[in-house]
Amino acid sequence: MVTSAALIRRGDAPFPVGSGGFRVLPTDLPASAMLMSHASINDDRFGWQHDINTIDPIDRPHAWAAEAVIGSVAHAHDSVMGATDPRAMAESAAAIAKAMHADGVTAVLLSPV
Amino acid sequence: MLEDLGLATSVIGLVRPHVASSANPRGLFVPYPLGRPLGEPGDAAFQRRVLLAALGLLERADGPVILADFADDAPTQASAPGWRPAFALPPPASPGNPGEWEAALATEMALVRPAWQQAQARFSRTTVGVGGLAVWRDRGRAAAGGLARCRAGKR
Repeated sequence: MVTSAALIRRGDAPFPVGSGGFRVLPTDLPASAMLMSHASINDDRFGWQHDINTIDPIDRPHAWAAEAVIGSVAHAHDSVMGATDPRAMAESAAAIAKAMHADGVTAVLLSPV
Repeated sequence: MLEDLGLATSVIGLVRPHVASSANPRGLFVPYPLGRPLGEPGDAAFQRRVLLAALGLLERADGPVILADFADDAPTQASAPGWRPAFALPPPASPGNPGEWEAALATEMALVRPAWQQAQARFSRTTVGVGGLAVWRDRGRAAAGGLARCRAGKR
């Protein structure tokens, strides 16, 4: 999964506006250890504060893997800053893809905010 | 980009023209507010339906561009005629009276604060302070007074 909500680990530096970078968030990182650093003032924040799965459904795929709806869940999900020029994200996309291939990922859910 | 790098993707989109114009190999438009791609906080069953709809696009072979619509409104977007706020707000202040605006703001902040503290304890997150400015009563009063003066045409 890749979210454009600019999620970060609690304590890490927020995404700068327009950043083409990305952050790797281990799948077992609890929701309480993540913060949103998206710069937009247009997004509803209540949904995410109440339940991270509203923007980044980290809890659901594990249950589906157990039900064999999907094969397995990647060891990490990735976060980028939405509203960034895609051309600034080319290096990040390559790095994300490389890591995903190494992790055996075959399909990616993109979840913008 | 990820498709070009050998990964199949399915994207959830909150703005239909964006999903359509970006011509993703697989896109699912959902009719929810920005910030809620899965639609409904705390409703695992509803989120599951959205997610399965998005992942289900991976099984379709009618590309190269698939744009599907998830038409169901989120449950809490439905009309709730009996809904009432958790507390009654103070009566509106008179335009041009800074004192009334300051008092109304102070009253409202006092009413909201316990709910905010409760949410802080539960979720450990807040948007208060994101701008890096301290929030305290005097600043709030100053803001209310300035707003009142603006409304009175004095600024």
